[in-house]
Amino acid sequence: MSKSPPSALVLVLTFVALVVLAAASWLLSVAGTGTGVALAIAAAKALLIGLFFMELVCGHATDRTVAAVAVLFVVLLTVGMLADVAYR
Amino acid sequence: MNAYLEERRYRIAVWIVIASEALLFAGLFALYANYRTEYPHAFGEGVQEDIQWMGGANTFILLTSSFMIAYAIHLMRHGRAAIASWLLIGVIVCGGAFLVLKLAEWGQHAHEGIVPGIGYYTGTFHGRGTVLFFTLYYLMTGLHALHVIAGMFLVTWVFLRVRARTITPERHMALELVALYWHFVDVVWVFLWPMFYLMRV
Repeated sequence: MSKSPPSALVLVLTFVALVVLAAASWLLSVAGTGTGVALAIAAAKALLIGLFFMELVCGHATDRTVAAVAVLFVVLLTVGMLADVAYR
Repeated sequence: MNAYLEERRYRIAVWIVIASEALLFAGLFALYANYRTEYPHAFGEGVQEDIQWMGGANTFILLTSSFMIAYAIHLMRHGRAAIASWLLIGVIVCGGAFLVLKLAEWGQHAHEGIVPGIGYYTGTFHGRGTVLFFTLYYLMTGLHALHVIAGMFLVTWVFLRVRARTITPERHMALELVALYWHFVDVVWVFLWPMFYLMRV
């Protein structure tokens, strides 16, 4: 590890933020917001889990690179599929 | 090989496993995006058919389990292995609760006639779009449930090793690697939840 791992307080705050985001996601769904908002909140939650629970915030550059490449490929595949559907 | 290099080697290996698993789910996400664009109305109706409170409860359960395993590592680093092992039991219980709710939901769907492979009740639905929605629903939540089961076995294994004191505050890499996998399982659900329970529009 290049930096010290997240403290107990950071872990608790991350959990609270995740629960708040999940509740917001559910409330916005009930209010009838679209898919974009739900997916944006999901991405924010995934980012929090990745940074603080999976410790990428203090992780080795190699771990971050592998994680970033995986995310890039997932996004590329999904965007490519959507672009194909949109221009069919 | 010194301990640092050994840890780096195992950690990168687990990250590569996670990356390849992410690509497995990415294919299914792309398929979902494709069919949702093609049948938006049927997918919206499919989402409303799913049992909302069970999806929400399962989200809370997995987020809590992720927090518990992250906190177990924190405690282990500070020499509190006994309390950490109790948190690991909590993670296993959460995994079990998640599966029980998931089975109950599948059972409820089956009771309503929404059964994969046999046929779907499509009287009030939009035919092919609904069939595709529920096929993806069973496929993706089923695949995710298999990952939860695998994760529970791994957490049970590290719990037993903590109890046997072969995982100690000084040497607990296995716990950290299993936790990485468990967090990944949580991240996948974080996306499955809106896809199958929230995106009604």
